[in-house]
Amino acid sequence: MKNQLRELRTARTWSQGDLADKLGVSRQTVNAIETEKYDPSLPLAFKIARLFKRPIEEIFAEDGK
Amino acid sequence: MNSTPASPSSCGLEPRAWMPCLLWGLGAGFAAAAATVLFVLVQLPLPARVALVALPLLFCLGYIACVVRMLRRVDELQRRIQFEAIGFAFAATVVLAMTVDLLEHAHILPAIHWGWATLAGAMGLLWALGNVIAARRYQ
Repeated sequence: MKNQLRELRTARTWSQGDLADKLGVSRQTVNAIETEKYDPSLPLAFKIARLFKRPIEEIFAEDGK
Repeated sequence: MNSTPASPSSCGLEPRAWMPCLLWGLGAGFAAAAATVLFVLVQLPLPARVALVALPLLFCLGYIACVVRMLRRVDELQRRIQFEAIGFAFAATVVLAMTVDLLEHAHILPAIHWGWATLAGAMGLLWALGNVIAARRYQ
């Protein structure tokens, strides 16, 4: 699944550690989502959407869409 | 909400998450080894033997509680890594035990009674190896 997490994070000049703290996950998890090696659960995706004040579908998109 | 896990190591977990489990496991192993040595060297009355069997079990209870607590505290990716690592350790231990057993029956390996403790140790090592392999997938 493609996502805009890295762009959204760097636009706010947050480090991966900063974002991990805000989401209550490890830095490894943030890195794995950004590099698209791991798709977050629905609750975590909602948390990310709330944090960046964007709809989920604006942050996450299926491959090829 | 879960507490925030800190930076992970190469196994996918920070040392403070897994170190207590390792210490409980090592404690159980050493207590069991010491009890085994005593059973071989000294003729002990039944109450003493029961106490010597119970001591490693106390460490084992601590180990179980520690592992369960660790799995509940980690975040969703780390839980997935643990799931893959434990699955790998389980399957690899079955294969290892079957292979050693077959090699012994075929008289390729000398028939040594490896024992359950060796199997438990092998499973622990394979769990650690599984952690490293699974964590690499998400780096």
